[in-house]
Amino acid sequence: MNQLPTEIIQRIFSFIHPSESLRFSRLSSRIYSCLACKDFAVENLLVHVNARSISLASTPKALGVLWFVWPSYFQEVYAETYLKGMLGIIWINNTNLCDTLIPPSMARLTHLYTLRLSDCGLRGTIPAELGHLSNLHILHLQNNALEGEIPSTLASGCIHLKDLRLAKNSLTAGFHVPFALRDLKTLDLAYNPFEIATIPAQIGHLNKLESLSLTSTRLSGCLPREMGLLNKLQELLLSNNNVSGVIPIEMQNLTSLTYVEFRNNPGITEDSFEPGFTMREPILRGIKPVVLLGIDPVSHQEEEEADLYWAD
Amino acid sequence: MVRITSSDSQEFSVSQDIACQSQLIKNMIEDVGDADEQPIPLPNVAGAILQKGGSCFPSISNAPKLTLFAVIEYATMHKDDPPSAPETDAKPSTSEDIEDRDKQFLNVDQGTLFEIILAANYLDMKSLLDVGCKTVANMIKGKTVEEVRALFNIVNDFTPEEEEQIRKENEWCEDR
Repeated sequence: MNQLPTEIIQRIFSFIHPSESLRFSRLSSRIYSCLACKDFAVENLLVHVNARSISLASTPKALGVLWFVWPSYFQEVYAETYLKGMLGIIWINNTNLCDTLIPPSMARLTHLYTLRLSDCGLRGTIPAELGHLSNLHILHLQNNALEGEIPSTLASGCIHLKDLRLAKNSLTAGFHVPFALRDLKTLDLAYNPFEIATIPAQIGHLNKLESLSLTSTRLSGCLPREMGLLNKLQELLLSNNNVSGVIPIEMQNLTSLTYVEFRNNPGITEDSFEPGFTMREPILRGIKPVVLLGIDPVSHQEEEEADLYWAD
Repeated sequence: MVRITSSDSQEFSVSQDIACQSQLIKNMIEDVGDADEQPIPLPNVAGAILQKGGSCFPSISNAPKLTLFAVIEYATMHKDDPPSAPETDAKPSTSEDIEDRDKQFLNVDQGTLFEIILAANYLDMKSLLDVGCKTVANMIKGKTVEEVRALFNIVNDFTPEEEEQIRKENEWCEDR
């Protein structure tokens, strides 16, 4: 078999399903050189993918799952050839993706409006390539095992992002990055062990922001006066941090604010309001220790059918 | 009729519609024009040695076949097939969908099978090439790497470190 021409070796193995074909690349160096390349990926996928009824992430061998585990040359061919027109990927709590990385070739899906991969057990970093998704409005990656930084390309490339949720990961850097996204309505960075986390003054530009969650982000420093410009802000979650300084008087202007959690910041007490601050509710309520156990008034959990939809 | 000669100078006479299942021969005939005069030489395809079976169709399995003879047999068998559907409409063809008559036709020893595949590739006969490759793929599927090496006499020329590296690259499919 080693002596056969490359195109014949590729043709033979192309008839083996792409969940298995690459297993044979270690037969010999000759066969490896035939299979570990884009040409083979093109041919192998062509035989097995029916573009009109792509089976998605329902089983461990579904192409949607394989996309996350294939080598990059396979990932790229698949994304480029079969997924390019996708508008949304919504796989929530998909155990098939556990312990996989986000494919950098996700960047080829330039029409993508929604990308929701929460509760999937994803590891690794958030690929900087996601910055190519200039049409992305909704990005949910919360509750995974992602580490490293929030790539700065998100702020420079995904300029239409309005809903960014990265909570409950292990992100350590890039805390400031999302604050450059001026269309944000929801920003949730909670429960990430950032090394440096302070709210930048540029938060004042996020004048569409309705919900800001920075709970347990090792947030320190003062609240910038520019926070008073967030006149759509309804929900502000800052508990379990190390915020200090005064609560600036400008925050009196937050007339839409209805729910605040500000507990467990040793530097903030009922006396932290700047002199002249009269409209203390609801921030004061957020600072006071909880006496009665109640139900979380805002539910962050949305249950939606895991599904991947197409653009026509 | 078209006359074809193999690399070992055996001559075959076949009707044009059978010969033209080979895109290569079809193109040659179109280039040459009238094909009656001269035999078409196929220096890359052996007539092979006929050890037994005489001059009849050696369709009994395990009998060594003349490669070109076998290819002609295949082409004769398929001469009335409808033209293949355009790629875009065709449903993905998997290695399971081999016609029974083709299965029987390709029930030959490994060496002959590869000879036929090579001849089909050279003669540019897509359907025979595919059915041959599918047959080999079916022999590989579900086997371990070691079993496939033994089956096809493939020498593992990797160092243990290199092989381990590749195994790691493809850990996701090794485990499943």
